[in-house]
Amino acid sequence: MTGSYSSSQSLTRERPVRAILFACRWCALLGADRAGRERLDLPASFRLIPVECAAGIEPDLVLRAFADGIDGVAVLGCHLGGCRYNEANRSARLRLFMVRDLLDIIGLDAGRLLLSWGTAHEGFQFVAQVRRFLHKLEALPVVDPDLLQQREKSYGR
Amino acid sequence: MDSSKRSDSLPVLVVGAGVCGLTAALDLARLGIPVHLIEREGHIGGQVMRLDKLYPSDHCAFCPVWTDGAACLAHPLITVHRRTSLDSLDPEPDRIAAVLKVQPPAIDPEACIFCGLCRAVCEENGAPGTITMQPVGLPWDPAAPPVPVIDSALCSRCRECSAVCPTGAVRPDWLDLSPTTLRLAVADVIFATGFVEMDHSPLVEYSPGSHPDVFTAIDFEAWTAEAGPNAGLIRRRSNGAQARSVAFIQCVGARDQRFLPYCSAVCCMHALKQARWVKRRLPEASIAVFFTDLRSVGKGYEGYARAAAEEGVLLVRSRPGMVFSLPEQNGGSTVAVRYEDMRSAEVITAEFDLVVLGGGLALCPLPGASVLDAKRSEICGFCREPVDVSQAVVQGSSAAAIIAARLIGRKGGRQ
Amino acid sequence: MSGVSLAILCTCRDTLKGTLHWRTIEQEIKARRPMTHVGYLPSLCLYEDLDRVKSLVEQERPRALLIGACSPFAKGRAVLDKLMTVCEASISVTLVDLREGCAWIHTGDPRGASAKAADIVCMGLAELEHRQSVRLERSAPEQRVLVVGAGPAGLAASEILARLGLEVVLAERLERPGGLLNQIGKLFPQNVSSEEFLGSLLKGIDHPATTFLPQTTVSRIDGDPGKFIAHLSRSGDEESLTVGAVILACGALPVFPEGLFRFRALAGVISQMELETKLKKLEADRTSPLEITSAVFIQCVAARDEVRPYCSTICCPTALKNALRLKTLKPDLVVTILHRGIMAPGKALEELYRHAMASGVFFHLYDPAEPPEVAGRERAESVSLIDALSGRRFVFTADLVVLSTPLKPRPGVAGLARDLGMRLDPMGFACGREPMQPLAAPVPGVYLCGAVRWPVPVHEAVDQGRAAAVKAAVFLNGGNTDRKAPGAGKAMVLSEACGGCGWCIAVCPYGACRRAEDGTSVISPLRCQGCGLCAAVCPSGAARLPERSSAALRAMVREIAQRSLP
Repeated sequence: MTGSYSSSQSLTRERPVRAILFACRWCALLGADRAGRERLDLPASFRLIPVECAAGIEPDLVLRAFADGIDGVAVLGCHLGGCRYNEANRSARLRLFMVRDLLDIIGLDAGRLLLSWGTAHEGFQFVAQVRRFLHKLEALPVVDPDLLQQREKSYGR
Repeated sequence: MDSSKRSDSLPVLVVGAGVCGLTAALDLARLGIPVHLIEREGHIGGQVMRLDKLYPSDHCAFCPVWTDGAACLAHPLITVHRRTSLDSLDPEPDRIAAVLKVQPPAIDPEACIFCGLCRAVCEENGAPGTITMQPVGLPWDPAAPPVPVIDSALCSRCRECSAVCPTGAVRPDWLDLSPTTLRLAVADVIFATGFVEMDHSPLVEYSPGSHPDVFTAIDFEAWTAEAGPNAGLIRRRSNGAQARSVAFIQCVGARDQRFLPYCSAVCCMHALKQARWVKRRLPEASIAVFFTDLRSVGKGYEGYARAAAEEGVLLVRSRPGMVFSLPEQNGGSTVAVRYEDMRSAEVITAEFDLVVLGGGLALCPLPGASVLDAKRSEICGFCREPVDVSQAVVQGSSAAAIIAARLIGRKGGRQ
Repeated sequence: MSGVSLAILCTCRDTLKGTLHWRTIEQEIKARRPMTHVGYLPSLCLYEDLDRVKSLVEQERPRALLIGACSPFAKGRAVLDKLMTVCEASISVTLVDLREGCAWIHTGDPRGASAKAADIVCMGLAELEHRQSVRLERSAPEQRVLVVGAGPAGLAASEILARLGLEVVLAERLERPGGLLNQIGKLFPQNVSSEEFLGSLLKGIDHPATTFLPQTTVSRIDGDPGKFIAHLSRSGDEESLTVGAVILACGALPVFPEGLFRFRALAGVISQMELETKLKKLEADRTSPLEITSAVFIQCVAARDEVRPYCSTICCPTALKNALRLKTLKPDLVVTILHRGIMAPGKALEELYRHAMASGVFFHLYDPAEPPEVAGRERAESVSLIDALSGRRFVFTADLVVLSTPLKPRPGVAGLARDLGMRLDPMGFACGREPMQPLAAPVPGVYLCGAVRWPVPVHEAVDQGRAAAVKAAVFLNGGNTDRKAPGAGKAMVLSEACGGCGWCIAVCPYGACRRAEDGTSVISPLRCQGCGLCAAVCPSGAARLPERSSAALRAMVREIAQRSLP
C-alpha cells in the first residue's frame, strides 16, 4: 500500500462536503428540532436521517456510505443510561468505536465518524457539534469512491 | 377485561397536570374511563417540566415527562384544559358538579401553525422577549401543542402580532378577554396540585431578593440549565463573571415552626444534583451544601450523595443563621454565609459568589376538596405529602387504580 | 394501485417561501423520480385540507404517500396520525420534516435549503420503496395476572386486579399471606394496628376470580407478554400456568446484625425485628410489665457502609415509632436513639420525629468512623458514644440495645428478574424504568412493586401494589394505544438466511430473540421493541426491521451520494 489516502489527494474541493447524520428520534432529533425552532444557523451540507435508535445503525451501512462518497457520518444517540431501548445504545457505541478504528486501517481519518451520546439534545449543543464536525470535514479531502475501490482490490494481494 | 362494563360513563376530573396528574389521567383513559385534566398554568408537566435534570440519573427532565404529556394531549378520552382552575365542587347523589374557570389563551392553539411570524414582528418592533416560542423563564415545553406565549406584563398592545398572523390565531383583544366558565358533571375527582416554592421574603436573615446572586432552588436550576440563559455556564447574576463558589442552604423556611413545620423531602437531593452539576462544569469551584439532615433515602440516593462528597462537594451539617452582602474591592458584592461549625462551636462567615436557598416547598391548596368525602376523591402527589417524582407517579397510578376499581369493578366478596 | 408516489408538501401558509423555492424543489424531485406527483397544501395541521388530500389520494391512487411538513415534535406527528386515518392501509405513508429540520435552520441559504429539501423528499420516497409491512398476528392476551408474593404490595395489587375484572393467581412462598406485615405490630406514622391493616388487605383477595396459592414458589417464567408461562412449585408438585402479565411483589429480607455491637454475645442486644415481636406481645398483654430501665437504639447497623452503601429508608421511622411505643408502655423509660441523621422526610414523618422529641426521646448523632460501643458482661449494661455534633463522650445506661438493620434483596429474585428482562441495581434490588415508569420492567406486561424494588413503608408498598395493578390492567386491555409512527416496527428473522450465529440473541435488550429448534433465531414480536440491534449485528442480513430495514437506509444514503450537484 503506497502512502496514506489523505496524502495522495489535493485539498482543493471538487465538490461541497456531504455529511449524513443519523439521529435517534428521541434525544438527538429533539436537539435538531430545537435548533430549528430557535432559528439557529448551520451550513446546508448535511442530511439528517432519523432512526428509531442508534443501535440500528449497522457498521456496514457506515462503511458503505464512505464507499459511496459521503465525507462524514455522524451517529447521534441518547445519553448512556438514558436509552429508551434498555441500554441498546451501549452496544451500538462499542460497535461503532470499532468502525472508527477500521477507518484508520483503510486510510480514512477517524474523525469522519462522529459519535455523540446525549450531548446534542439542546439546540445550541446540536448546532455546535454539527458545525464543528462540518468544519473538520471541510479541512479533509473529498472522499473518492474510486480510490476506496482500488484500495479494496489491493487488499487481496 | 371489557371496558364497556364500566358502571359509570361520567368522566373523572383530574386537577393538576404535573407528573402525578398526567399519570393518573393516562391510566384512567387507557382503561376506557374519560378524563378531564385541568391545569392552572399554560403548560402541562408541572414543576418537573421546569427542571433541567432529574436525580439520580442526571438525565434531562423534559424527555420522560414530554412523552406522557404528548400522550395525554393525543388520547381521545382525555380532554386537557390549560389555564383552567377549579372554582367549586358540588357533590350530588350520583355525580359531582364541577365549575371551572378558563382563561382564554392569547393564541388559539387550534388555529396556530407555529410559524413564528408573531415573534419575529414583535422582536423587530424592539420588544424582544414579549413573545416567546417557549413560556417565559421556563425550559422548552412542546408537551403543549406548540403555541407561542405572550407575556402580558411586557406586551405594548401594538397588535402587530395579530396583524401579521397568517391564520388569525393571535387574538387582538386577548388582554381584554375575561375568563369563561365551564361546568362539568364528573364521577370522581383526583387532586394532584403539587407544590409551590414558598415566598422567602419573611426570612429576612437570609436577605432573599436583596442580592442578585441569592437564588431559590428552582430559580438556580433555570439559571444554570443547559437550555437556560447562560447555556449551562455558571455565572454570577450580579456581574456576569464566572462563579468561583456556590453555597446551597437547605431547610430555608422548612422544618421551621415560623413557616413550614415539615420537611420538603426533595430539596436535599435537589441541592446535591445541582451541586454535582456545578462541580462538573467548574471543577475548581468551591461548593458547599449546608444541611440539617441529609435526606438521601430513596432508591440509589445514598450512592448519589456519596458520589457528590467524593467529587469534592463539601457537605456541612449546619443551619446558617445569616446570609448577607459583602462588598468587593472592585465594586459589586459577594454573599456571606454565617454558620456555626458544630464540632468547634465556632461561628464562621464564609464568602460565596452564589447562594441557593433550598427548602420550603409548600403543598398547593386543594380547591373545593373539603366538600368531598374520601369515597369520591383522591389526593395524590406532593399536595398530599412531599414526595419525589417516582413516588408522585406511583401515587397517581394508585389513585387511578382506586377510582377505576370503583367505577368499573364489582365489589369483593364471594357471590 | 398505480406505480406513482404522491408527495404532499405543506407550505405553512406560504411562510417558508423565502427559504424553500418550491418550483426548484419540485423540478429536482421529478428529475430524480419521474413517477412522483407533487401536490401543495397551505396548512395541513389545520385539517381543513383533509378532504383535498383524500381526493388527491383517490385520484392518483399512489403506492406511497409522503408528507413534507414540520417537525414531528411540532404538528407533524398529529398531521401524520390524522392523514393515516384517511388513507387505506395498503398505502405506505411517511412524514418528512422540511421546516424545523430544513427551512428554519438554513434561513440564510435558500439555494442550499431548497437542494436539501429535495433531497429530504427523495430520501423519504426511497425509504418508502423499501418499506415492507410486518403482519403481526395479534392474539388476545390472557386476562390473568400472576402476582408473586402476598405481602402488602401483592395483596393490594390483587385486590385492584380482581375489581377490574381480571383473574388473579397470588403465589406465596409461606403458608399465610402478609409477608413482613405479620411480624410488625403497629405501622408508622399513625400507629395503625397492622393486624387490622392486614385484615382489610385480606378482604381484598376474597374474590371469586382470585386464587391464593400458599407454599408456592415460582421457579421460572418464560413465554411472552400476554402469554407468559410461569412454572410453579407447590409442595413438591410442579405446575405451569399461562398468564398475561406478571407482578413481582416478593419483598425483601431483614439483615441480621450478626457479629455487630455484641449481638448474640450479650443478652439484651436485639434486632429491630425482634423488638417488633416483643412489642406486639407486650402491647397485647399489658399485665406483664416492661422490665427495663433504659433502651438505646443504634441506627444504620450494617447499612450505609461499604457492603451495603444504601439507606434502607424505613429504619429511622421504625425506630421513632418503636421508641414511642416503648415510652407508651413505660413512660419513665429512658430512650435514646443513636443515629447518623434521622431520615424522616416529609410531613407525617417530621411530625413523628417532633412527637418523639417532645415525648422525651433523646437523639445523638454519631460518625460512622467513631461508632457507639456496647458494653456488658453477660447482658447489655451501657453504650458509649462520641457525639458527632459536640465531640463529647457520652455513656448511656442501657439494658436494652436495639439494632436497626436494613432490608436486603431476596436471593431468589435475581433469577426471576433475568427471565423477565428486569435489571438489578448494584445493591441487587430490581429496577423499573425510572422516573416515569418506576414499576414497569423493560419487557411489556411485567411489573414490580414493594420492597423487591426498594425498602418502603407499608402504606407505600400498598400504593405501589395498586399502581402496578393498574399498569397490568392497562396492558391487558390492549396496552397503551399510542400508535407508533409508521416505519418504527418490529424485527423479524428470515430463517432461510439465518446462519445460527446467535449474535442477535446475545444483544437483544428484551430477550425477544431466541433460538428455535432448528438452530435459527426467531423473534417474539410481543417482546420486540424495534430498536434494531439484532439487525445491526446480523452478519447475513437475516435479522431485519422490514418497515425500516438497512436496505432502506442504504437507499436513503445513496440518494444523497448520487444526487445532481448544484
